[in-house]
Amino acid sequence: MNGLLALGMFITLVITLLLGYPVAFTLGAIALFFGTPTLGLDIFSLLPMRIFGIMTNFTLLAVPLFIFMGVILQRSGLAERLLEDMAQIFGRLKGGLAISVVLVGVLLGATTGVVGATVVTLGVIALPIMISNKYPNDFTTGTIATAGTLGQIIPPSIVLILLADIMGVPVGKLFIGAILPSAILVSLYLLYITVYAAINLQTLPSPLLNKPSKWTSLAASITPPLLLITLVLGSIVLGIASPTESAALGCVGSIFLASNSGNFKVSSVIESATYTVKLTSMVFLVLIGATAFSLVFKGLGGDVVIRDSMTSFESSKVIFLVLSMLLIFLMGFFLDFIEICFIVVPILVPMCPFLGIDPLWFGLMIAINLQTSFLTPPFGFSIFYLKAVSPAEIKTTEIYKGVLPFILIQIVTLIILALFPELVLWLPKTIS
Amino acid sequence: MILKTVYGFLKAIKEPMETTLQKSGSLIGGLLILMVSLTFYDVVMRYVFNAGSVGTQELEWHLFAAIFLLGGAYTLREDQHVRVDVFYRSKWFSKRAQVGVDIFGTVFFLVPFCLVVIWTSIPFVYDAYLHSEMSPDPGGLKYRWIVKSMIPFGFFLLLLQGLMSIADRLPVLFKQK
Repeated sequence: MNGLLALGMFITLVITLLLGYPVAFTLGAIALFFGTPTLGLDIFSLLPMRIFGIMTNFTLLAVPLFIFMGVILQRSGLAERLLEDMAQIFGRLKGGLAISVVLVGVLLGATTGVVGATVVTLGVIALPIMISNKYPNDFTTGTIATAGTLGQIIPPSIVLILLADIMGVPVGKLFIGAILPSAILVSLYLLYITVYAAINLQTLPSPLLNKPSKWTSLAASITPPLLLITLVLGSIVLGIASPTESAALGCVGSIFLASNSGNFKVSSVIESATYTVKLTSMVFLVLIGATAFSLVFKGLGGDVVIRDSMTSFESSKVIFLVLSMLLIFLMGFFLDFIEICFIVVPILVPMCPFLGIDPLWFGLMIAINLQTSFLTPPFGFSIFYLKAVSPAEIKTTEIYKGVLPFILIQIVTLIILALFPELVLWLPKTIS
Repeated sequence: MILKTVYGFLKAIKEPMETTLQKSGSLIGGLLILMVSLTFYDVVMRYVFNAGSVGTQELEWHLFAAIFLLGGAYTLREDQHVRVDVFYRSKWFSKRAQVGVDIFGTVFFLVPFCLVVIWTSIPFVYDAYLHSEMSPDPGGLKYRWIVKSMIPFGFFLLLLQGLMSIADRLPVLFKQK
């Protein structure tokens, strides 16, 4: 009986969320409405202890640190310089501008990991250049929206930190595990761009390209971010520092890098800090709300219901995987990664030990899958951000059409990782 | 009648609260910068001078907790709490409908949840105070009730900000076309 109530609770949540009131408080309130009459108000006396658990979680401390690092870098003009220099060199190739955008997306992803900012930056700089070079609207916007989303999967990434916490795996391992899959994903993007360009584009002299290619200029702009990446990721991969500690190094490194760029003031640091506070509070209040929700959901035996219904599939690993991946993919059409991470994933995770699924691998599958939630119409984060900075003649439908091939590539990557789990697991095993 | 009193009360505290919350943004931003510096200092001490400190590390998460708990109200004020805006920001939702959802949500979701968190966390804090709870680790910080009190304090600020947002939005809801 209670089990049914738990399912009802979940369905009520999904419907209520569609009202559009902030997720954090909707979660908490649904927990109250379902928990109080059935389990009594007493169950919520456990809540402060749970909140305190979040407060003392030293790994989660890396979240505000990495956000801060990303915001600082975004304000430093790093992306602008990188993109200009890359375009100078690759712009002559067929599809070269698109390749530059993806490569800059990789570099930004490995340093900042803040998706919205990256999409906006790439959109503002690259979009006009690509359009004026006769790149089709859909291909251009698809490339930019996707490249800007790479920060989500390339470590260090906020999504990976949150997932690591939910899955109960070390963040460092998840970061290391994400390296090969990211490389596969990016290679497939580049392959698609090259093939597309060979068929559909002709080489055009770009107005940017009147100047000779300047490798020295590129070297100058690429060295600082590469050093930063080496510092942050290197210290994590080599196991020298914890992700939280590396993030602190990254923050100081990025302030140093930004202050050398000229147009960076002390007030920018304070503005970045205030912005980081908003993002941090947003994430962690959703986590608090989700904690209240799961307290009641489990109290009503919801986890048992899920487990029983899943084991009725003769504990088939394959069916569970396909269903959960499909669920996350479909949820991604309407929900952001935060909601999926905190609401959907915790329901799936307890199944892993029963089916003998490696949580590290499953976590990465989810992370790749979550990337699609930024791009899938009608409500993809990246699409909104890009639309906001696009000239009016670019239609939303063109962006939808443009991201479609990239979403397919993400699905292909997902399938590759499903067939060859070693691609995820090998590197963490080898390094530790 | 009661509503009118509440409304009057909110109007009265609105001005001082507004300025406080507005300032709280950069204040908490300051805490963040402090946390970043402290974490960096800790790393340098640990790896260069081989002298890690439990107290410093605890102070880092104390600050982290204060940041996201106290920042909740400021984030609400700036309307930065994530929503599922499939309908909310679509052409089907007028400005008035949005305001309606916000008021409804504040009254039935935010306020009850804040009250429950405050209600349950006060004994939690008081307990820590009564037993002079401190860090179990040697070299850790004392006065654990201080960091624990950030829970009721943060949610109290949220509650106030929520009520003030109603006061702000009611006129929009009842405005004549």
